[in-house]
Amino acid sequence: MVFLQPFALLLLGFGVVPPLLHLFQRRRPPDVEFPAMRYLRQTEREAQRTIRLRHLLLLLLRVAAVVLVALAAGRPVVPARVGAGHEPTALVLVLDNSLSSGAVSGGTRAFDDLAARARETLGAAQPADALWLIGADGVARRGSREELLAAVAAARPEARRLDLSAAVATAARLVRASGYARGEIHLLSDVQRTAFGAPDSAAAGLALLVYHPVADPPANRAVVSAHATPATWVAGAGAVTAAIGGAPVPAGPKVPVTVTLGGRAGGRALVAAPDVATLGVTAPLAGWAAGEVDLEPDELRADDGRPFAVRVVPPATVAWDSAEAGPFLGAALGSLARAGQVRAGGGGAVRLGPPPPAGAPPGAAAVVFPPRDPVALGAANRALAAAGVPWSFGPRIEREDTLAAPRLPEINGARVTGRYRLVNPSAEAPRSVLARAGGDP
Amino acid sequence: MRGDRLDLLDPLEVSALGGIELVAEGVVEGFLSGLHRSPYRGFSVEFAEHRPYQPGDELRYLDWKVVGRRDRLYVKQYEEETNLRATLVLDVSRSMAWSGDREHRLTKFDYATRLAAALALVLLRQRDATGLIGFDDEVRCAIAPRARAGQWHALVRALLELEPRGGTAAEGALSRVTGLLRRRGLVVFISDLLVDRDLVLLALRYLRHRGHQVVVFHLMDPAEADLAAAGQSRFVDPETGDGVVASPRDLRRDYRATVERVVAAWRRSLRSGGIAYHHVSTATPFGHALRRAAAGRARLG
Repeated sequence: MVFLQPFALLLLGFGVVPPLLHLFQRRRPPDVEFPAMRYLRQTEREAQRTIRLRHLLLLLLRVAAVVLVALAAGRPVVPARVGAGHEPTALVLVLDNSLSSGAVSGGTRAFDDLAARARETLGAAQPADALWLIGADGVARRGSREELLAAVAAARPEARRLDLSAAVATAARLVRASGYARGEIHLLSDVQRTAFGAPDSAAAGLALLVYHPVADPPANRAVVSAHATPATWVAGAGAVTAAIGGAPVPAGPKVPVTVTLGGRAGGRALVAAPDVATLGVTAPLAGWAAGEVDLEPDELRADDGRPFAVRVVPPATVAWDSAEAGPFLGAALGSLARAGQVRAGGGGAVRLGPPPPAGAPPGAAAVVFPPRDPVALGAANRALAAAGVPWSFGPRIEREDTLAAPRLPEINGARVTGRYRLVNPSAEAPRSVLARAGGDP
Repeated sequence: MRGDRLDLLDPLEVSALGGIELVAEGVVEGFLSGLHRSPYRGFSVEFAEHRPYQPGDELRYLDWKVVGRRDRLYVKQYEEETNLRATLVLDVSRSMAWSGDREHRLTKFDYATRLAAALALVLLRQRDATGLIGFDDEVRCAIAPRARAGQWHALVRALLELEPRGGTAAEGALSRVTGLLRRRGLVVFISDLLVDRDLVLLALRYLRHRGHQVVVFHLMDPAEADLAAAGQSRFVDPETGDGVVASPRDLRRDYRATVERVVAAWRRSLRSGGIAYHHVSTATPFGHALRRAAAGRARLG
C-alpha cells in the first residue's frame, strides 16, 4: 500500500488527543442533590468493570476514528493484486515519453520509472478491462494487456511535447464512450508545467491517478539549433553555428561542444548556457552531408545532440582575361583559386571579361565587364543581345554615388565615382537587380 | 365521575387546592364515595339494619331469608366497632424533602404528610384510635392513638409542624411504637426506606411478632426509580453531603435494575414476615394508596 499524500499522515499525531483528554480532563461536573445515593453507589460498584471497559472501548474507537481519518487523508492506494480482482474497468494510460522524460536523476531515467509504473498497472489488468495507451505523440492506442506491455517496452523518450491537458481530455472521452461503469485514467508523467495546455474539464468526475517521479528535474543544457553557415558550402571546409540553451548556472563549468560531418570530427569549443558557438568542419565531398552538433552528455541525454544538413558544391571553374579583369580582380581570383574556392580554367563555368562571343556554350555563367574603350560599347551591347541577355550598357555617368545592395552586404554602401547605367526594357528587370547607384541598376 | 374525586387526581393538583386538612378531607370523601361497599361495615357481629342490595355489594352480606320471603335482595348492615389502635409512623428525614421535578411532583415528604392525614381521617371516621410518630435521626413527634373528637386536627397540626431534616434512624421510632401500642393494632410505616435495611427489617418483624398488622408504604420519586439521561454530574447525598461523580448515561440501565432489585428484596423480605409492602410513586393518586391501606385494615377485621 502506498500513500499519495504521505504528509497527511502527520495527522496521526492527533491520535494521542483522545487519551490526553481522557487522562487530563479536569472539568468539575455540576452538583446534583440526589437522595437515593445508596442505589447509585451500589450500581456504580457493580457496574464499575463494565463502565471501565465501555470507556476503554470508546477511547479506542475515538483513537481509531482519528487514525482512520489521517490514513484516509493520506489517500492510500492498494495494489490490485492484493484484492481478489476488480470489476471490468476502462483504463487509459497516459505515458509521457516526451523529451523531458529522458532526464536522469540518481542514476535512473525518469522514463524508466514511468514505464515501470505503466507495466505494474498493466500487469494488474484483467481480460475484461478495456485498455488504451497514449504516448508523446498524443495518439490513443487500444490493445490487450500484452500488446500494450510490448508498446511500453518499445517506447523511448522522443523529441516531442505531449500536451497533458489534451491527453487527459482524450482519455476522458475514451472512458466515457467505453460504456464501462468504472473508468480510470492513469497519468504517468514528470508533469512539467509547460506540458499543460488549456484547462479542460472533460475528466471531471472520473478517477484520475497522477504519478510522477519524486525527484526534481535536474539542470539541463541542450543544443537548441545547429545550421551550416552559409547554407551551401564549397567543397573543402565550412562552419556550423550552434545555439546552446538551458538554465544559466552561475559560475558553472563550461562544457565542450563538438561537431561531426559525414562521420568526420570537426571543431570543438567550450560553451556555457546560453551561448552560441561557431564550429569549423571539413567537407571534402560534394553533395548533401549530414552532421551533428553534440554537447557533453548531461542528465537529459535526448537534447544533447542536434543534427544538421549542408549542401557541398565543387569549386566553380572561372576563366578571366587578365587584361580585362585588371590587377585587383586578378589577385583576388588567384587567392580564391589557391584556397580551393574557385578553379582557373578555360572551359570553366564562369567567364569574366567582355561579352561572350556568339556561339558560346549555353548555360555558362559570365561576368561581363564594360569595354575600357567607350567606342567598343556598341559592339558589346550587340554581343549581349546576340547572347540573349536583355541587359545593355547605357550612357556613362561620372558622378559620385553610394551603392545600394541589400543582398550583397560586402559591397553595400560602397562609393561609386563612375559607372554605366544598365538598361533593360523588359518589365521583370527590377527584380534581378542586385545593386543600384543613384537609383539606377 | 373521576373528575369529582380528589383521590384519583394527580397528587400535585390535589395539593394545590389547599392545606393538608382540606386535601385529606377531599381525598377521603372521594375515596369513600367510590367504594361499592364499605369495608368498615360488616366486620362487627352486631346487626344494625337492612338495606336494598346495590351492585357491587358482597354476596356474603345478602340476607337469604329475606330474599326467600320477599323475593327481593337486601343486605345486612352491622354496627361499627372501635377495636383498633393504629399508629402512623412517618419518615421526616432530609431525604424525604426531595422531588425530581418540583414543578410537576410533590416532594416525598409532602406526599407522605397528605397520605398520612387522609389515612388518619379514614381510620378516625370508623372510630379507630389513631396516633402518629414522626422520626428522622430520632423521634420528632409522638401522638398516642386516640379515637376522640379533635384527634384528627391534633394529628394534622403535628404534621404541619414537622419539617424534614437530619438522617434516618427508623428502628428507634419503631421500637417507640411498641410502647404506644400496648395491644394488637395497626402500624402504617411511611418512608422512602433509605435506611439501614437490616435494622428496620428487624424492628418491623418484631412489631409483627407482637401481633401488630404492619403496612409499609415505600415512597419513591419517579426520578429515583429511573435516572434522567443527563451528562456527568456529582451526585450529593442531602443527608450526609457525600458525593459521587457518575454519568447517568452510563449507569441508567444498571441503576434501574438495581432499584428493581432493591424493591423486590424489600417486598420479598417484608411479605415473608407477614408485612404488607406497597411501593408507591409520588405520582400515584392518593386514592390508590388509601385503597391498599384499607385492604390491610379489612384483613385485620
